Amino acid sequence: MGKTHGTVALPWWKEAIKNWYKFPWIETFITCLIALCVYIGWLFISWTVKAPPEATHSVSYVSAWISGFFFISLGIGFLGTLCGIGGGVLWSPIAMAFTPMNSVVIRACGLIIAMFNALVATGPLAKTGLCNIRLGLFFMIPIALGAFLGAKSAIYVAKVFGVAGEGVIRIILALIIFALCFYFITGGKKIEYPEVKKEDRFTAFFKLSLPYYEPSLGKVVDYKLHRGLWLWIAIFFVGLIGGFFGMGGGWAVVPALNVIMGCPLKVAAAVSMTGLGMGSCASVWPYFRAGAMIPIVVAPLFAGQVVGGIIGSYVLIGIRAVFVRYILIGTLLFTSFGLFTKGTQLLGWFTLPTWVRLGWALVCVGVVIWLFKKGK
Amino acid sequence: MEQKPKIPVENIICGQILYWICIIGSWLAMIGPIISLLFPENNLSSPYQAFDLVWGGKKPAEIWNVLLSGKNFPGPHFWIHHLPKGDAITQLGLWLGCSCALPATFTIGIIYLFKKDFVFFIISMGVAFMIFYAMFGG
Repeated sequence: MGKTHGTVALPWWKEAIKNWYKFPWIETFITCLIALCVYIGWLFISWTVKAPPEATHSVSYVSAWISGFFFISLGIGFLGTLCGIGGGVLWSPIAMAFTPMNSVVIRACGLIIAMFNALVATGPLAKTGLCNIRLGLFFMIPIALGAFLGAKSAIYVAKVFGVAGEGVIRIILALIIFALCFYFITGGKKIEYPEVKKEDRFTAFFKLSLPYYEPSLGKVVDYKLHRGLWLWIAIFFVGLIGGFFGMGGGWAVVPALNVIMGCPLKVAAAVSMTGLGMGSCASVWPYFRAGAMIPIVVAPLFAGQVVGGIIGSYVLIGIRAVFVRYILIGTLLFTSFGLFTKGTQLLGWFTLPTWVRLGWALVCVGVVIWLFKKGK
Repeated sequence: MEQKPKIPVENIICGQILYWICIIGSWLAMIGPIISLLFPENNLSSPYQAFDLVWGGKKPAEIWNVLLSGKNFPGPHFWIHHLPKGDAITQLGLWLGCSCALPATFTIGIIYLFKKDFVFFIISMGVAFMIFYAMFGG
């Protein structure tokens, strides 16, 4: 990403330094500067600050937690966006499988992670024709409704079913993540420019198409859409799962828009970020109102996603993103097993011996190696 | 090379509203916890126990009970009555981020009304109402 200076295109970072006082660089620099001061600078300063006598821990202890959560969120946002898997899909399953945190708190944090990476990207994307707000609004209704109901159900299940509910939720999430891994491995069906011969009356009524200029083709791409009603039904269930488990739905919304509705792949990816980010603004509030968002804990996750989203959209990636995707698939595969075993443990069914867990870890490593070889 | 099509004004306005509210919310969310730690007596809840309670697997109600010394969670809008306390500033940052879609959808609804696109006026206002209801209603 760079503009021309004479006949040579500037790399993005040179352009940023040259135009630091102009939008969007100035707010990027301010945000990164505040993050640097708060999550690195303050961490060192906190060693010299004394806590009040009644405090249970030192200031540096709390600051280390805050910085830790920020960097975890930054990494998740960056890697998830890079690999097209999404941050929410990484955070919620891994946290539920390997941390002792309460699942409602985990899911609330997961929604924050899924939401803000998408929302921050909407600003730059909306200036291009890729981000079709009309299409985003169109699927926001079912996803906001589904996600809101999912979130309310999550709070209800946690209140009524207690530890048994925690176990069942983990087992169901394990099965979903396992199915997702299988879908990521097989690649799923993706069509860059689907051919839609005729719009149905329901979809045509909403006039959803928005032509956009595609630089790689050097021309304007106009597209037709169809099967809007089927998309609504599919997206409602995606929202339900996303709201219940605290995950985003980009992994499902993009193929739904692309395959069901015939939306060009780039437009589907851009619109899904906008629609999911805005739709999640409805699903996050049941968790917020239930007190699942502890401010000092959630704030660094929020900041990590914003900073990660800003930086991620400008960084040129030297490594092949597809290889990082393979490692993440292996991680999710291992996580799904961890979720399943934790769920069975909470339900009091059985606890698997260590050698079985180690064996599964080796299977996951084998899968990653196989994917690498297949990718080459 | 073909001429680039004109981007609808509602696209740009919606994107900018979401972007700037998230950016400003993130600045408050970054600064708030530091203020909480610098001025520990000026907080609604104790900043020193939160991470231990969360990592200990406590439920949200239990966490708030300890942080507020026996009181219940005051609701997500508590920042209104407690600024400029550190945790209120943090909460305001989160509140802004989580509610950014409300002004965005409301504004583009008004734009659609001026454009006489009543279908999307209703859809935008419907989404805005859903978010408003989630924030303040059931």
